[in-house]
Amino acid sequence: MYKFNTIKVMSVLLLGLTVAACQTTKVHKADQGVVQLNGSKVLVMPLDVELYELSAAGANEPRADWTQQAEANIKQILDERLGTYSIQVVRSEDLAKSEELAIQEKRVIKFHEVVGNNIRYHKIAAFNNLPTKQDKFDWTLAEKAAFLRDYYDADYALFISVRDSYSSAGRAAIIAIGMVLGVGIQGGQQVGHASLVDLNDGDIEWFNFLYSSTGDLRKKETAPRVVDGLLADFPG
Amino acid sequence: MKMMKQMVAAAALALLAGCNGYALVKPEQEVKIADAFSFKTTQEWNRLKQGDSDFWTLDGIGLQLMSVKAGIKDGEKIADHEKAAVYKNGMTTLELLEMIKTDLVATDQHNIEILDSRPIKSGGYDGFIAEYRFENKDGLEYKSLVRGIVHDDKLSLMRYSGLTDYYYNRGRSDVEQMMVSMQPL
Amino acid sequence: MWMKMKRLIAAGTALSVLSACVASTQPQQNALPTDGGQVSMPALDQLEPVEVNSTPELDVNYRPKVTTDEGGWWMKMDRYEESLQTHASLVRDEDLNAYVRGVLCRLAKDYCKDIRVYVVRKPGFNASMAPNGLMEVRTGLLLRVENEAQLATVLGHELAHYYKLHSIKNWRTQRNTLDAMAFLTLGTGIIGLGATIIALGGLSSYSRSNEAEADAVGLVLMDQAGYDPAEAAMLWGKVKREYAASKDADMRNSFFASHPEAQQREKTLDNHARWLKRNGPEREIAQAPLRQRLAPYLQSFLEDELAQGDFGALEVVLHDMEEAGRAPVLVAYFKGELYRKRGDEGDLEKARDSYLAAEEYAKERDVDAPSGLYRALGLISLKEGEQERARMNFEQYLQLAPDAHDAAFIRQMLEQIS
Repeated sequence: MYKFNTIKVMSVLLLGLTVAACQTTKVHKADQGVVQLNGSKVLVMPLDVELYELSAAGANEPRADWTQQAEANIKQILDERLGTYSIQVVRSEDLAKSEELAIQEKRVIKFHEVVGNNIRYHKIAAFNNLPTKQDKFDWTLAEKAAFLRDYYDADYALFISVRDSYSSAGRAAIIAIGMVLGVGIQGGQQVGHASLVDLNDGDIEWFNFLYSSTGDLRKKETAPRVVDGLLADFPG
Repeated sequence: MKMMKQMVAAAALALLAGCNGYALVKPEQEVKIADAFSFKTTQEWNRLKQGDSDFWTLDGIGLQLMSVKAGIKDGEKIADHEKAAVYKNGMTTLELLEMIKTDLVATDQHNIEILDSRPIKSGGYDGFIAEYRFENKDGLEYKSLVRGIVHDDKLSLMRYSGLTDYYYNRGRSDVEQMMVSMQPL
Repeated sequence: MWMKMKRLIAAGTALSVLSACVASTQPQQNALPTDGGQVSMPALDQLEPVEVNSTPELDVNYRPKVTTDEGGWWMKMDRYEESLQTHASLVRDEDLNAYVRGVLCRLAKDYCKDIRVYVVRKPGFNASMAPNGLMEVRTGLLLRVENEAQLATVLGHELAHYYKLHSIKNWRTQRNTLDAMAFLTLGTGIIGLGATIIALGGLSSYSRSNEAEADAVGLVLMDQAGYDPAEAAMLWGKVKREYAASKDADMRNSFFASHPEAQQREKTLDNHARWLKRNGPEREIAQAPLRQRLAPYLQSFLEDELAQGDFGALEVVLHDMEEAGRAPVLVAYFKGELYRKRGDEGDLEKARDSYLAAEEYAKERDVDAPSGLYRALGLISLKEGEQERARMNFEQYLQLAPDAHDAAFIRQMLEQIS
């Protein structure tokens, strides 16, 4: 069994996306999916966001303060965007859970992560495309989603995951020197995905992948662009 | 630093995959594997050939994966990882069965159970089919169907694994059908 | 980590840039110790006085600022710790966790509440300490320690890494070194840069001076808690022999190369221990409580080790357990398993003798031998061409375990015999 992790998937993606465009999104929608958001209850899963600072040599150093800023920004913008629909929003973290239920929920999140990584791996980079999925998008959490439906009494679940890095002063200097020497050196980048799962059958109805080398989630002014990119073509 | 190994593995896989990519296997067509076996599938599969190894999947190689490794000789590893057990001439089917469980333990799978196992004959050769249930490191449940046959002192292994929820069962009956029907060439 | 070799190997070529710098100052380490870990002991008056500053460099309830690199790694490790809750490898047995935690608290005192220790089901001699107070102890380590003082050796060593902020200091050193190198290599090419990115994918290994300091502080903590610090050198001697016998040449070499004081370490630990004990009262080894707590788990821990296929290393572990008189039935049985699976020249006989010894020990003690014993004896008899004996063994196995998952295979072999 092949096991993915975020790093693996990211490295493969970077091979696939040769040119780092400013901001790229790739939206997939389920084939026969009919999303009826209005009047429904949408469960927002815990945000999976981590921000890093890129050292001169290219090491990723986790930044707690930036991560907190980004989380707050995403949360606020998400509230605004979801507020335009006539839906009831419930957040996973607002509901107290026993340890056992918390573990069960984390396993659903893991399951979604595995499925999401496979979608990214096979759908984004052309050389990994699966012939049977050429014109098809039918990934699902199947019965695994039932736990969320039953526990939260919700119709849909929204998952958001972002890994984001920014150049340190040292990295910026290296990039500048590289440019003089005619060598392109990677600076900070954002990789993320968002997905909407129909909790009644577990199907992933909408899945959007985002890659960007310019956005900034840390600042109130620039964060909306990234979040809107993540929510591109959001159904409803 | 595990990450590094994984990145290299991923890059290698990507590059190799880049050479030929996944091919479509159509149902009811005769398919040859490793020039050693042939069989027919009942549904469409995606197939990636890499050197001696052969990978098949329906929804993604991390969701369900069938791999075939044919012609494993005396002293060779049964899988492509550091701690893989070594096949030896004269191993009984019972020892082969034992070896598969050992391989699951060695790859950091937990709470392994053998759901079913039986000796089989294929083209006059002895072998086995066994089904396992286990959890990966993150506590997600997987199942695995394994078929091993020894012919002319060489071991052929066919392994199919997938997430127990939904993905494993998507291919299971097809794979079992292949395992039972596949004939040595 | 007490042992870092796994990570060092995995880092492989990527870290070669780094390790080359370190290794070049060290002599070649080809001569592996094969003397069974004997150390010549200095006389008391020859003891080198030892000064150790064991004062923690962080306060109780410490939490770094979120704006710092340290705060970043705490966040990262807090998240890892949360995901650890779902891991299948987490040993949830309350007794075992409480026991390990008890030993830790005896060492950590007021700091105990800042440390969370997790027992993780994994083979191999290893424990780790994250900067945020997350400590992982592998079951393979629990298998290898012979008494509570040896367990305290490792826990004290890990605790010292925490007290002395080793992870974050090391991260800074390596990050800054690589950053400097990045500027230097930029003129000559970019290849080196790619390697450094990978090398710094996570918190990196401790330096040798970190390890030495953790050893020294760990001993003081043991001593203060009333454990006999002399057990540290004993444990190190065991580990050294195990790695010298490991099949994994990479592991062996990288270990002895990255711990160039491997030979010296035992001596240093011993000297420190004697210095600490020079006038003091007797210290505790506490063998019985540890053995009692671990007895129910030994079989599953040994199965994990066996699956690694590192027979040379396991042979040393089993030999030590045998010498210490631990679980004789199990140890003999697993020796049988080891030799049967290794299958080298003469191993078949050794395997049979071990299985028979296990059978005898079980009878003497009036306990059950592991259920696989007669099946294994049957398989060996088959290989030796002793069909009749094989038949008897297999029949005995089926009698004891008629519903075994592999009963159909045994019956098939019985048919082939007759």
